[in-house]
Amino acid sequence: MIWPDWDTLASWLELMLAGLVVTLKLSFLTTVLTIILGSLSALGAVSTSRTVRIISRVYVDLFRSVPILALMIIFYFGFGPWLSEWGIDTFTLALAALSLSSGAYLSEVYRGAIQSVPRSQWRAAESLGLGHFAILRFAVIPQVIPPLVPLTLNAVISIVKNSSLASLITVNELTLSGTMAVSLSFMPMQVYLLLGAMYAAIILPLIFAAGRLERWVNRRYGLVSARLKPTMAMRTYASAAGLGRRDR
Amino acid sequence: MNGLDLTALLPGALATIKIAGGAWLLALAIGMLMSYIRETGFRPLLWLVNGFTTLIRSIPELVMLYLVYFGIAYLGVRLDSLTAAIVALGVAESAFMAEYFRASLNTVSSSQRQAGLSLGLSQVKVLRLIVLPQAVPFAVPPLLNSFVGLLKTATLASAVGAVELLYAGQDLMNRTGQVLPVAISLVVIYVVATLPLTALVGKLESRARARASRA
Repeated sequence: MIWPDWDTLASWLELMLAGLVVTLKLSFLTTVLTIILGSLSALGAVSTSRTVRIISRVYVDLFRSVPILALMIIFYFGFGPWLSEWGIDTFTLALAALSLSSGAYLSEVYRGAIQSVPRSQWRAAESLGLGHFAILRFAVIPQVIPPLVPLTLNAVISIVKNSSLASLITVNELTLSGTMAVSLSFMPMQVYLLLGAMYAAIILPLIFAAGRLERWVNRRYGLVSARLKPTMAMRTYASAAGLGRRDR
Repeated sequence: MNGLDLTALLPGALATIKIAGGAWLLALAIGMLMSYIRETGFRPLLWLVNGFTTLIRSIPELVMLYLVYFGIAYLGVRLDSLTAAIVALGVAESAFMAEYFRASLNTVSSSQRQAGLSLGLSQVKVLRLIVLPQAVPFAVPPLLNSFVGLLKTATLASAVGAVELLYAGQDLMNRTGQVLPVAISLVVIYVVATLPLTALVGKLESRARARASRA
């Protein structure tokens, strides 16, 4: 394997730093939309209205079943012809696909957390005269927020990793900049190793932060976190972050 | 649908199942090996396994696939796109498998192992007669869930030209120009294939949990 000289390496880095900025932007915006979508859908799942519950269920089941890449490609082919007419670009399509999909996953995590609060607390709050939203606002949500912080961070890790799929619908993010660097100088192994290292440089600190936060939350709010039985969606995120949460 | 031949998707669906199944088996083998190494408790090997799994988790599957497909070809070993997808996705998934095994083995308390040993059972018999029968119900749901996940991540193989379900769908859209019917078919296929399995995972999981709380 030949190692690239400094000029080649510099040209790669120039391309990839531009891509890195797009990846960070895409991941950040996706995270914001995912948290909004996930929260709304989780609140919908515990709503008193049957219609709202059904809408939330359909959203979660649909977007959890369809692979993110399939969603992106469908958006790309489906909306592609009208993109310039509507004044949006493939970045927006990738953002929509990533957010809709991650939002469905995060909704399951949030719903599991809300439902882990014992019914007896709901009844106690009802007997104090609180309504549905007041119970959520004052009794339920404050308890579940601390254990949900590290779990949300795990979702961010998945989002950064999945943002690489946007390269396949021509979004100029980090992975596509790597592919362009390969076409400049045919050294795929070297470029993709560098690319992997760049992703690891973003994600490893997030993994360690999520692990530390989780241990801190468990120490500080032990009882609440212990009650919060990890659902499968949570565990997928937990192991995505390398937390290896113990089941019991 | 006017003359749209959806049977063109069939070979793609078959390739998707091949990729997911192959990657699942590979991940299972590597994951078992890694959790066995962890059980031995030999420090340097333990660090190696932990470092490997953390590193694997910090790299997107697509980049891993490019490394396996384009990178290894550059070094002189040519893998076809289907094999490359199986290897890349299998290695990526193995890091999670090792975690699932550890979590399910941890559900059996160590006092039970000690009790077994004090009754004169060998290490192997303790594992076979006491630990595994209790740990397996906890391991089945995440293992099934991992297969469902792989059915979806198998779409990545289209990026290196493997004709799996999504690639076949894209090809059909390109050839016929009928985007909407093909898109709906793809969505329906993925929902029908994964939703019942996801529901089954949830059911098995709550059953394992109910059994554990009775015990």
